[in-house]
Amino acid sequence: MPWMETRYRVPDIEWNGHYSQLIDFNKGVVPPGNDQLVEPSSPQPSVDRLSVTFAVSKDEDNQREGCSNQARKEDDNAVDVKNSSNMHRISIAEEEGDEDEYSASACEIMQRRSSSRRQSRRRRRPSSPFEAEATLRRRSSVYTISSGESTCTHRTAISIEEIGSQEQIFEKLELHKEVLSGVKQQPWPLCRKIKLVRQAKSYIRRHEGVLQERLAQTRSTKDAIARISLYITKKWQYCRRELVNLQTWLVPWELRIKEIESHFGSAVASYFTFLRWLFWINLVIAAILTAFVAIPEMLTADPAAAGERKIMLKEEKIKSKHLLTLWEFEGVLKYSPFFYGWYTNQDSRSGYRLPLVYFVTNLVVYIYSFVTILRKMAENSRLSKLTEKEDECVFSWKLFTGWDFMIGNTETAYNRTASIVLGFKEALLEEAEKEKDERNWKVISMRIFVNICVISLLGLSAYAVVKMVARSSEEFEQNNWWRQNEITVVMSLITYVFPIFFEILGLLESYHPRKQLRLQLARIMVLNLLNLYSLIFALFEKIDSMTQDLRELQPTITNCTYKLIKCDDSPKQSQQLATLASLSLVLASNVTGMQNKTEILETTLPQLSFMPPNFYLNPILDDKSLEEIYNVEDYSPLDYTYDNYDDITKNELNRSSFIENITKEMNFTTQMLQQNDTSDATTFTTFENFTDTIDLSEGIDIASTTSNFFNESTVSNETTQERDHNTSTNTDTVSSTITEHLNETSSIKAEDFTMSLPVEESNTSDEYLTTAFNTNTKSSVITTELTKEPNIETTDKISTIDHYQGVIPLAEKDYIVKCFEQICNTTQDTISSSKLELKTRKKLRRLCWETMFGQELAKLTVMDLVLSIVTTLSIDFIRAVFVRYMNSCWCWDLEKQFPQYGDFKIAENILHLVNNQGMIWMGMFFSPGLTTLNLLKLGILMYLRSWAVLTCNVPHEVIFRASRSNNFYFALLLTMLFLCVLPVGYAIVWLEPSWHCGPFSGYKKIYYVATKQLTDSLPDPIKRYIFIFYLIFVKLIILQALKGMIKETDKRKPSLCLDYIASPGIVIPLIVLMTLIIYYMVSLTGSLREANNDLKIQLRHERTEERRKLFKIVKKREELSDLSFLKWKRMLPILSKKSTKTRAKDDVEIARTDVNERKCSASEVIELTDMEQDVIPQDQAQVSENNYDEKAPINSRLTRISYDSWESQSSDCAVIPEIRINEAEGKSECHSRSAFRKSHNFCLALFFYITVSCNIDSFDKV
Amino acid sequence: MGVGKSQFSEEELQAYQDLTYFTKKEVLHAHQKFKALAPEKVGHNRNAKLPMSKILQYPELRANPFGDRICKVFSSSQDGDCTFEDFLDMMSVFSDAAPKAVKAEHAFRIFDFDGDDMLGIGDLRQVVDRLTAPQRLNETDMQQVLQYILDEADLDDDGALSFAEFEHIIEKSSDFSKSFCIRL
Repeated sequence: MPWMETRYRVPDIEWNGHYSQLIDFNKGVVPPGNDQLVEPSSPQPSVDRLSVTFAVSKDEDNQREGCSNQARKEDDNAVDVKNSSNMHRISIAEEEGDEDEYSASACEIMQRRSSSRRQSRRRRRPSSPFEAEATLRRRSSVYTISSGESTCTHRTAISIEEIGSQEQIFEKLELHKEVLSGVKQQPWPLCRKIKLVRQAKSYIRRHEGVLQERLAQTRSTKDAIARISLYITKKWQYCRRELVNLQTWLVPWELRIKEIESHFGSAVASYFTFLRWLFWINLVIAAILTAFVAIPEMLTADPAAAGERKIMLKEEKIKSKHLLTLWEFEGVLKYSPFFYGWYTNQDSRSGYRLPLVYFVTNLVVYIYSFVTILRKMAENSRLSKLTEKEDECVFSWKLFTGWDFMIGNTETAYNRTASIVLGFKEALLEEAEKEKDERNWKVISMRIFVNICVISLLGLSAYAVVKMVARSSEEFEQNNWWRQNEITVVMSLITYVFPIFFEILGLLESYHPRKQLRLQLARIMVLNLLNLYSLIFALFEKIDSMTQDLRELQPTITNCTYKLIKCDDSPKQSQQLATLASLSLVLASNVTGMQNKTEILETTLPQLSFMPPNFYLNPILDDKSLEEIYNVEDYSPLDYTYDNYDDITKNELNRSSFIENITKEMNFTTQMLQQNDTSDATTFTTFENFTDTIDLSEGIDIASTTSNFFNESTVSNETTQERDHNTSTNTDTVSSTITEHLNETSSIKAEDFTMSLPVEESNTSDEYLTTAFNTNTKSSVITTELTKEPNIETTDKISTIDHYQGVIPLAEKDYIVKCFEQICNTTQDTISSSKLELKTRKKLRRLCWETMFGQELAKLTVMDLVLSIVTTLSIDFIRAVFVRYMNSCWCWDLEKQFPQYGDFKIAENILHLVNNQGMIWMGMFFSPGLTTLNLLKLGILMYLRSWAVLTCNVPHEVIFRASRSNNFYFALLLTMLFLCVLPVGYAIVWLEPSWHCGPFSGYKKIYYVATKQLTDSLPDPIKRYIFIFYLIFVKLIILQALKGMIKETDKRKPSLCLDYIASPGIVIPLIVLMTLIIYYMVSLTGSLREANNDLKIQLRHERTEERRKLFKIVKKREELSDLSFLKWKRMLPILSKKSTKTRAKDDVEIARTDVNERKCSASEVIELTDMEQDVIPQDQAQVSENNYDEKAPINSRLTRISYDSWESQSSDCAVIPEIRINEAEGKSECHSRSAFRKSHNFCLALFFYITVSCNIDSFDKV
Repeated sequence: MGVGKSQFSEEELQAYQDLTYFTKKEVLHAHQKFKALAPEKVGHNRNAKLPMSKILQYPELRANPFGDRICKVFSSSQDGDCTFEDFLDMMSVFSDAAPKAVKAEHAFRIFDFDGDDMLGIGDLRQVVDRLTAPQRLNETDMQQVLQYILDEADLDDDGALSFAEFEHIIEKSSDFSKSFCIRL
């Protein structure tokens, strides 16, 4: 029989990939002669789910049973032979009937799995010339032979072969395990599945035991590994299941959400699931922050080293626990782990690096938030892989997915049906009016008006927020409750009131409700973002002024002393090098200082973003002490310096012609001198000019001062020979010295830092600066008395007030090298607080801007909670109570008309959650306790909202979903997160932390804590190299900046903006975001691929479906024809002659014409059955349908005739659908491939962007 | 509940976990729910067969216009009476964890009133009827709705939706797996 042949051939095609031993077996039966069958063109169109479950035809079943029976018997025999001694084969031998069922089911599962596996390999169907024939053949056998049977035969093969080798047992076990894992997917009744699973399990147990024993007997490592892996997989499965069990035990609020679901449907419940998800995220974040930041700080930090951080003033203590103080997050809360300011900047004695941990933990938490959101999004997108535009199948979706199966409440069910009816009607109307596009000017003008209103409202809210923040920074002493809370109150009010305005305005627009809702959502989102951002900008402005105040209070930090040291005994080389280094850094600092300075009088510190803090030979700090020096000498310091400065500049301008002669390098330096005011260079010049102005001598010009300045350096370089120097050095020497100097600086790069390292080590906290002064004195004696201000409280380290006199008797026109050593002490944290004035202390306490930032956001969070409680109570609860009880004595129906019951606004509420979470992310860095607070808030919200929903809201009559998938919410959340990380990143990278509070005080920028730790932890040799590179880098920057400055001094502002964009604060989050987006895209392509496979399955499915249909029709027809035949036979005795005649005639006709046209044969049929007119129409119809079918069972002569006559025709017909399907498949593949390409392109674009932004970054630095 | 626990052996629970999308807790929870439908009957025999009317007391099924269909589809005896295992199966298919394909298959069977493995005009009409139960669409609307549905979904123009066509439509809708859910 041709069928059997194919049936036996099929297995080795399907399975030869997996089980090679099979081929041998099968070869014995059927030599694989036909090439086109061996060719792996997925020989069996997978008879998938449906045909398996619904359409198992009888004969198929029989065949299968037969086959599997055989298989099982053989199997059992084999088993018997193998382990006749210790076999406890109970169930299997007992119930033969079950056996059959079992193997049949197993076959189905296997077949299904194999089909899916086939798809996963994504083999293309080769279009060989044999295709048509093969298809034909396949078609002829398709329906009776499912590939399930092939699996079946295959199993037989295994059981015959298996005796002996373990691998085969392994394979069998694998098979059974696959059955076990696949059985879940089958749409069978549970009892059948249970039976199946029991059998499979017992089999596995039995064989695994045997296997274990065998493996135990042999000693080869392979076996041992196999045994261990068996054991481990078993344990692992068990553990995993237990874990999942535990997880489900732990899910909170399940019942509550379920109740809401049954009352309000899944849309409302999605808000609560989202809330719960957020709760989990916050829980994790809070746990991390508490465990790694707050608790170690509490346990290990040294309170003595904390300075002002952890103690309250007496006045503060009195009120510290009052409710109002707590409300303000002052008092106890301010001096608790809740806020940034409380944390110390010292590592704990046990070696726990608190500041670093603070930094890193926060970083980890942010990254965690990004990753979780994106993972969730990817998961969701995988679930809804094929979702398309929502307008595609409106009606079908309304019909098939319209009912929310979670509804368990009659009222809700009623509402639901109402909404479904409404939906249908609306969709019909829309469908009818799709073409009509009337433009109503009234509506359009109304919409314009509404949009203007919305924009002005948005502007108003931004203005209000900015104003409020500005007002709050104006006055310090506000005891008024309103004044202290106005920011929060105003902001919360805006977030609650403005959406109502928007809604009212939205009604005027007369859009479709769905569009209206979307617009509303977009507007609220914009409002929230605008509010947050205007708050942030206003706060940053406030912070700016605060840092200035702070700096005014700061002088106490650095104590610089000048020490006279002997220059004669050849200063150590280290000192020289340090000098050089400092000089180069002077240049650097000047450069950067100038970038940030627009006014001369401004005494801001230059932003030295690229210098590691331990490399602070920073002469810049000196200007303060310099001022003090002048102070002592009763000069009004500012006047003096700047007057002098003016002098310098004037002089220089006067001698511009002179300067022009000088070489370019000289030009740089003069330019530099012209513009700087706070650097050490001025220190030098002012010192010089100081002597000048005392003498009022004309002899010294600016050029000489500058030259002196450089001469000094050269002198200090070559101090072994004391050089006499002429004051009026000509230009040549100046330029030469300058170049010399520059050469020096360029040549030192290698030794420089290797040598200066020991210097740093020797005085650890002190910054070391040696300056060599070449004082040119025409006058006889200068007495400089340098004293420190008495009110400066020096630290323990240098407690002595330096007080020294430099009395220098000098001969005229002589240069005497005097060496001063300046020691700056920058241990800022150990200010003994007792010595500070109370007022300054008070002021200082308020000036910790990080804490202020955190407080502001914490206040906002709490205020938001309070307002949401209030609005829920007033808008929902009181309204509901009023409507409920006043309805009986009111003139209109309160429930149906005006106030009604409130309904739950899902979209607004979700936006509220997103907004809240954004605030948390923003404030998290500056107040680690905020997440804990938020956790509390979310819990309260959960209970409050669920209570309000269940008691006072009614289910919405018409449900327009804002979005079809949950991903919308997560996308919002992701946007929010990204936007909220930006300001935090700005603060970390760009702002100087306050010097008296928080873990990062003492660093110039917050992120230096990480870079410093990194450089510290590196071994010395590596560090050396890094420093060399670093030096080169710095020099490059200097040169670049100098050039840039000469060229374009006006373009500072845009470059500042560009600087920020290229700073790590922006670039790092961007890169993180982009990698995550790439991850998302990749997972999306995965899901698209999956969808592609699904489409393929569907197509196959469709094909088998069609075949089945035809088969059924044929069967029916068969019966009918049988029936007619019977009738005919009944008539036969009478009409036998005629019938034979006609039949003969037919045969002849067919033989003669051999034309395979339906009409022809139909006419034959008519001719044939002209005796029974009533049968004809039916028959004919069936015949005409039958022309696709090629496999009509040959029972009667009549059908045989038609079958024969259509044989050749049917081959044509059969091919056509095949081709069509192929085309369709190709199309689907095309579709998904183009999608893949799209996402691929996007990935590429992202990478490109990343590289570009990196380039910008580096370019900007170089 | 201790009672619920004692009614099942560990092995049975493991088997249930293998076969459904439930964890142990959920299986036990499902049993409690099942028991609540007919406490005295289930108390005696944990796997007692409850008549359809009892099963339909489950709130979600009661509110559902296809409640009886669901019972029939999941009933092992095809008449709507369910044992606990049938009930568990039902809940498992309706659970969150069940994949879309399984859900679609059962949905198809639920909507297939006449059991001919096709959603013909009659089936569709009945679905619409049940969905819009008290109000009902008028005849012209109904005709139009059916026409539109067939336009959208019937790819081979045979006037009925096969399972493949049905699944295709379902696959494209992101709502389906969410709405075709009953939480235990």
